[in-house]
Amino acid sequence: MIVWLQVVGVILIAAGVALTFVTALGMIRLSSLFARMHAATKPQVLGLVVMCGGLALVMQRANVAATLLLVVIMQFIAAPVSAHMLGRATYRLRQQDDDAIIVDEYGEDIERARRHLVQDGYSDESVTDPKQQT
Amino acid sequence: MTATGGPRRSFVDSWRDRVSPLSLAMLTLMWVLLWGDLSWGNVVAGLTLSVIIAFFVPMPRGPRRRLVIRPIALLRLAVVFAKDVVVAATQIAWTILRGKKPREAIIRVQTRAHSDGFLAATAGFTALVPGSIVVDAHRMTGMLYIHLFDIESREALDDAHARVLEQEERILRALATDEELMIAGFRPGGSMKAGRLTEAEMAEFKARRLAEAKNKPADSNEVELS
Repeated sequence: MIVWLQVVGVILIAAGVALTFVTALGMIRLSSLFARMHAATKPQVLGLVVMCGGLALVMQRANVAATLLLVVIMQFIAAPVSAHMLGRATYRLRQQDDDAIIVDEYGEDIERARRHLVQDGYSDESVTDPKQQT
Repeated sequence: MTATGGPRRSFVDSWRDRVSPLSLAMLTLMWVLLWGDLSWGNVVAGLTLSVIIAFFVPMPRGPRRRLVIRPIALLRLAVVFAKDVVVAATQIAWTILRGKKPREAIIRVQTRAHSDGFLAATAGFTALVPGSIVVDAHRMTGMLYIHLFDIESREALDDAHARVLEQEERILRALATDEELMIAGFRPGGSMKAGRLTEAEMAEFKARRLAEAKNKPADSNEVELS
């Protein structure tokens, strides 16, 4: 066991915990779901990476490090996917805070697609208008 | 005879469709990492499980492609990504701690690669770098809708737009074949300085591909050139 590496490890774990704490704080402080998803993807992922790195340095065993590496890889894959799914669901259900969003090109494209469908003879009701789904 | 009346696919064909060496290698590696112990028993057990999983629960497979890795470009992708993750985390942590109300925006970005895999990779990477998460991806047009966390000005929107495209270029330069790079409109090669194809070069490339497509019978797995 190399002691100074363990000290570095403990510092890294503390940093990871701090980042995760900030994420939790963001969940309370940020107002919109999108903003919360930013908090849940970035400081949270880095917090976990730093924590796993710290743990690997404290334990100093190859098999533990291997499992921690897997945890990190899985997190890198899972975080964007979950953020994407939640973001899309939020948008489609119009749960977001419209005042906070200053530019919305996605809404423009949805609206344009809707107008095209109406022009092509679909009835207005049959075309889902996200703005009316409150 | 199968239910559809077509010729029955041979075992070898369906094996080739489902089990790719790359997926076997990755699943086995994952199994070994899960056990945290590199022994022959683990490798053999992992390989056996991977074959069973890949054969009975196959992933949808895209067009067959050659695996290309450009080491320097891959290293650049990894280093820039690591830096971006740290910057992103600090930036957001700072905004949270200051208690500032972020001004949000959703922009559309037309990606350049004509491939599901690279669209997914670009979306995944974009979600973890500063200021952006993906709200939606449109597969047919390769359009990504990106939510931006805190926007100060019109220029910041253009910056964010350019950053997504740069991210895509880094991924393509690290992992795409020369052909795929050219379809995306880039000069082949791993350097970011290689730049984009001029219109004349693009026209020449399209003509060459059309000629090639005419010479061999149509294959549904061919990459479409729009």
